Amino acid sequence: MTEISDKIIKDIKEKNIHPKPRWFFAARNLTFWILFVAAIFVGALSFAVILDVLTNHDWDIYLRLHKTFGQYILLSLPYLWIVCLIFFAWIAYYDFVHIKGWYHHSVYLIVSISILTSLLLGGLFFYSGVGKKIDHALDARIPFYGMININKRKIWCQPKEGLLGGEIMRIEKERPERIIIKDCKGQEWEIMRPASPPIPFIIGERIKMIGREIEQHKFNAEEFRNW
Amino acid sequence: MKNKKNKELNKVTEKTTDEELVAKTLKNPDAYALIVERYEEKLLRYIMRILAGTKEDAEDILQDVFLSAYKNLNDFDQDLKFSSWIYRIAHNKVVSHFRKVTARPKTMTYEGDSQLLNILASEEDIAKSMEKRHDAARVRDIIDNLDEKYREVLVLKFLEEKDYKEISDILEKPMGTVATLINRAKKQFKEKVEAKQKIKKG
Repeated sequence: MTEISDKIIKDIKEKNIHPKPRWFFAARNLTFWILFVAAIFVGALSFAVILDVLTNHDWDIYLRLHKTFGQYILLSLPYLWIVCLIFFAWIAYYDFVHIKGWYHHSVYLIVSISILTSLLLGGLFFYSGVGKKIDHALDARIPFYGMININKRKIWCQPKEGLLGGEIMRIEKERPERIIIKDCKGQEWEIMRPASPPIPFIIGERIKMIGREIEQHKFNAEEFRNW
Repeated sequence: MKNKKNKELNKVTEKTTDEELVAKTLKNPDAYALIVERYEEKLLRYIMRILAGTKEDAEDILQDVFLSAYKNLNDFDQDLKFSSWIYRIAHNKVVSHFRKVTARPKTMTYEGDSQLLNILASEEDIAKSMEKRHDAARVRDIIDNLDEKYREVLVLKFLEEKDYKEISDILEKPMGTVATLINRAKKQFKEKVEAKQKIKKG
């Protein structure tokens, strides 16, 4: 025995060191595979919400906000979800480079394929309405979600510019021409509405309106849109 | 029982493969001494060639490499050569060491390093523009001034005499990337040699 081998064997015996079991490495590798697939899946959900936000955005109102279309695009992008998509693409990359034998494949190819898979899967989720459900569910259940997606609320909280949005509080049977909503600042508004609105009004639902402010906390709605 | 195990170890010859020794080690830790003896000189030389540190640092890393390899023996992938696997552990330990130390002292001269210049000279036909006989210290100096990613790949290819597949397995990079790195490393090495020549003549 050489000096080093002698010391190593002594260390192994004195410190009672044992090789880690085979299942430990198999489980670790499997975990990275699962996280890799999960990251692609969550990336797809993020992309579905991005598509939903962008396709349901009110692209026609930028002139009311006195902005150019370019400025309006920058104001409207769903940054939270874009960051999520990039973050999970990075997580997928991180997991992939920890999978045994990963380097036999081109990392650029794998990252491109995983991003493409996220986008295609995200497209499918969007068409099946999953993106909308996630956006609505988070908006309804997580208080700070709305604050992160502050742009939409900000845009629809400008009654002086003819843009008002909020939650329907009351619909009075005696006065069907008006409804009461609560805006983003928590203030109640009396909304004068046309006789036959294009969307159904449900108490607790949120709506967006284009029209004009008649007097304080009184708004004449010319157009209604789903939130 | 112990005698039986020791008899098994006595049967080990030079022809016993590394993979067979790994299997024996998993049954009897004493067999690991044979793996250590096979690799201690090669790995110490490799670590010294790529390490930014002292000989004592290199020896500490070597011990760490062997202990880490022992703990992870069940992770040894039979698709690889055992030597590639244990060189990879050494590479990773040296990289961790680089992260710990910010200053980069001169690396150590190792006997035989001077051959690198001659190997590259014959490959690149740069012999015409420079003296062929350089001492190990000067070659070491040139190697030290290479980018880190180039230095290691040159050491593995020309001093450790590893093939592309082995380098790919050690550095965990695709073979195409290894080929590109080697070409760029040779180019940078040649440029450094020529720059030294100019300074010497001027």
